[in-house]
Amino acid sequence: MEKLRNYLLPNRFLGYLSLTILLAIPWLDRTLATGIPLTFVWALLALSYNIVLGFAGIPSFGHAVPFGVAAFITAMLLKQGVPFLLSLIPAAFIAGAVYVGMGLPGYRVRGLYYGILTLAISEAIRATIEYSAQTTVAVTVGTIPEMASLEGLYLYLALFTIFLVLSLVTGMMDIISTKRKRQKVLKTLIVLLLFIFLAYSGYVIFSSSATFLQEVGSGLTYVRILRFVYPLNVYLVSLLSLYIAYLLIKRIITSPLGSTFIAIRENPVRASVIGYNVFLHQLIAFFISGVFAGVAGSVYVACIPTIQPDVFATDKTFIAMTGAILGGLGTFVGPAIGGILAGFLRDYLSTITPALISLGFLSLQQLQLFPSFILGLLYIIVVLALPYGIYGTWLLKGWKLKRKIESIF
Amino acid sequence: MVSPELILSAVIDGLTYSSMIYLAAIGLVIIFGLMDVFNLAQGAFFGLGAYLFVTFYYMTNNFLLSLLLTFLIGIVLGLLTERAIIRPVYGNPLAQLLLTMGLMTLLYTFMQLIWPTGLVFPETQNFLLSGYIQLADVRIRIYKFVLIMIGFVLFGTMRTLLSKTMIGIKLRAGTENRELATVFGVDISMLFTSAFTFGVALALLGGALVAPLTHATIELPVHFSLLAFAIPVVGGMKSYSGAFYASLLIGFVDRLVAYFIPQLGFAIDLIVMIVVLVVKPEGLFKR
Amino acid sequence: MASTILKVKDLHAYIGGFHILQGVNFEAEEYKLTAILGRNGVGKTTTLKTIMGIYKATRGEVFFKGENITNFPTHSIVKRGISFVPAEKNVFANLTVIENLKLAYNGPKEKFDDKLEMVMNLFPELKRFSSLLAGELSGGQQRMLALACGLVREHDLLILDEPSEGLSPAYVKNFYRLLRHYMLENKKTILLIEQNFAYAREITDYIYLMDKGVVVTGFPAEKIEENNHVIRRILGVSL
Repeated sequence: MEKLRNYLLPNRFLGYLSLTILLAIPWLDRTLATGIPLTFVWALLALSYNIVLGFAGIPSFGHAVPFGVAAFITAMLLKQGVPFLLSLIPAAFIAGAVYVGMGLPGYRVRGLYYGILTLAISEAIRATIEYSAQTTVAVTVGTIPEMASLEGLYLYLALFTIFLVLSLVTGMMDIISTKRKRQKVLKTLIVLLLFIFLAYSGYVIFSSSATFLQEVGSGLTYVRILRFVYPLNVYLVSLLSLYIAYLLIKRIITSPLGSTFIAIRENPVRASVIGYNVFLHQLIAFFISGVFAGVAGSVYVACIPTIQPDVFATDKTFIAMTGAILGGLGTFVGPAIGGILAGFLRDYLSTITPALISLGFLSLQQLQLFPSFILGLLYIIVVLALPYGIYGTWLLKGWKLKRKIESIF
Repeated sequence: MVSPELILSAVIDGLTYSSMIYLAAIGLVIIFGLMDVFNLAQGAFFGLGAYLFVTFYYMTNNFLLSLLLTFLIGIVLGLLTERAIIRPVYGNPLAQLLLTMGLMTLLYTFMQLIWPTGLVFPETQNFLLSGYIQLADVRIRIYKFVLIMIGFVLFGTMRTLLSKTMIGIKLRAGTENRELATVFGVDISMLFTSAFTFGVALALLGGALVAPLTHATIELPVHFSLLAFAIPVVGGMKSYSGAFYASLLIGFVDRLVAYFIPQLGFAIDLIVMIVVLVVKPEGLFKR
Repeated sequence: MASTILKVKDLHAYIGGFHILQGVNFEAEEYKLTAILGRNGVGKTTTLKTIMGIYKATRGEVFFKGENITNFPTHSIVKRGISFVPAEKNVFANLTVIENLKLAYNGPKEKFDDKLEMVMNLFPELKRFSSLLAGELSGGQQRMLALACGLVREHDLLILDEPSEGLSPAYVKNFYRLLRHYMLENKKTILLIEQNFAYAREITDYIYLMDKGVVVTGFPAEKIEENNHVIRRILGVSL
């Protein structure tokens, strides 16, 4: 009972609320449903990178490797007809093992040198696959059966309802536990508005599902079923994997194992003197990080059904790094936020490019690079200006702002 | 079987390649040696130099002038980078790595943006630039010998500079202990700026020098970035002479493998790097 | 009339968030040897380093030969005629003895050999090992080299941080005598921090006592006995 109580604590309100809103989004705007899952993949990749750099303190520039490995394995297994979830698990664990392999040289090589080595390995794998194959090595996966299933839809509806209720309950608990009258009133207002919004979303969700299911009952073509259900399922898988990964990572890092990581990061010599096997722990960190990066790679296949060697390209590592740093190394939520931001910039900046074509002197091919250019610039600016990342700086300095706002009320 | 002509070709290519790698990497070693900054963008600057040089050559048709212009731009870029990106994060190696990696990506994207198809260095009437010489039964590009010579000259110059001149003493002192160097009256700030600027300019110059042979392609900075990174690792992170010998090693290994065991491809350089890292992490040479 | 070559006024400095210097005031008179004494951690080295521009002065001023040099870059302070010998890590291990001295020397090229000769005579052991890397010298020899570098540099004011540390007592006695001789002969000023004050006592002209980031009091060396109670209180021992 006590445990159950824990899940209803007022401070969980924001988390449940965000999740509910995120679940609602693709129903409100179908066009967003296709692009956002990829953004979640980058967020997950950033989260996984945070384990190795933010928590264990090892600079790895080869994060694309477990990502790419898992992507290829998942794709190949899917082609053989293996169900998605069943291909995800071995792919992720193999990715973890591979990453451990990359972590092994870390015994002899430290810090910077190690970073260079990982960069080289990542590039070499990509180059080798590209050069050694006669044609482009690509694995194309057709429609993934689970993503076309109706069960996914039911699951989606169930989850939405659960989290909606959780948000409601924790929201109310938060209001009840607020002492200051002014704050209480303000919060009630905000929560009320949010719930009107959520109620509306709920209405949209359930009514369109109901209509859809009716149509299915009276005989809808397979193609139309697909068009409705597929992107929603992909979205769900992507969001869930991000959320579950976040929960798991949080669990791991707050456990004794996680504290060991942090102790090692802060002062490896001291940690080893106390008796921790520093190297072993580093390898464990690599494994965990690799597994989650592998999950990201597998989900990537669901979003983009053709896997090419460019999954090993350094820009995948770069997105993970950017996300983790933008958001805040060493925090929990930071890298996810940063990853979403980085992914969003990368994927959505290209919508601005048609406007730039009208400027005339740049071709379409060149314009596709423009977002990367801006992202690179942004990355540099953020590292210079916000060394703790957006969320990290908020954690550090944000309390001042919070105090100010609270004092007004 | 293996013909003597093939071996001759391989050896000359090995020497040429070594020279090219040395040109790309020496700036990196200088910068890291003095400032403990690993400039991940070094290879990107190398590639940029190639592109700029060929562009200038198209405009002016003058080899030396194009070289000079490229070098000057290198100086400007070096100054800007040092001021805007390196200075603010002195003493924070992680931030430096991250920033130079960002710069590297930025430059790559920039090069692809401006020159999406690469640039070909044109055929010229100049014997040195585009001519061939017949040795045994093999036709060899004269410019390869030019490059080889440049590599050796550069090595000699570096050696002399470091051991015999006051600048060399200041560089070595500054590398060891910044604070003490200021107490000894060294303007460390200016020394760092100069060294970094010089290192970057050298990278651009290097790219310019190899362009007549390799042309300016997007593969150039990617390929030479990794090769350049391997040099301090293999030769010793702060060893200036080590950089030269390491370039020879990697250059030869790479070309010989490319000639006789092409399946290994790029992986061989990586293997060498890993072997050295595992066997002797400080690099093969001391100083 | 003796003039002040170095004047420190209300100097404040923070190290790692701690308010180490809380208003340091003192003066060094020309051609005299001034000593700053105090227990460990009161801020003596920090004072010297702040004067030299290594640490940032958040408040207060430093005047050298009448010029306000507060927070100037270290190398330009050195150029103005202050030679500083830190307490530790004071030579370049990867440079040879000669290269260390060459680097320290900032006068006209032609005069280097003469200056070198003079300094080497003060430290005969260094002469023998002149082509060795400084890192290959013993601890004591390295300290001697550090002092030699301080002397070879053109200066009007010589600042020494615990110069006798690591040197054998017999050597130190002689060293201080030579130092005073050097100072008078060449019309230089010396400012030093010294824990082993006993050795420096006979050659000191003026003493300042530091405690908790401030200079508590100062008096000429003749008045040591008179101020014994203050000395006992600040340093914990009599001199």
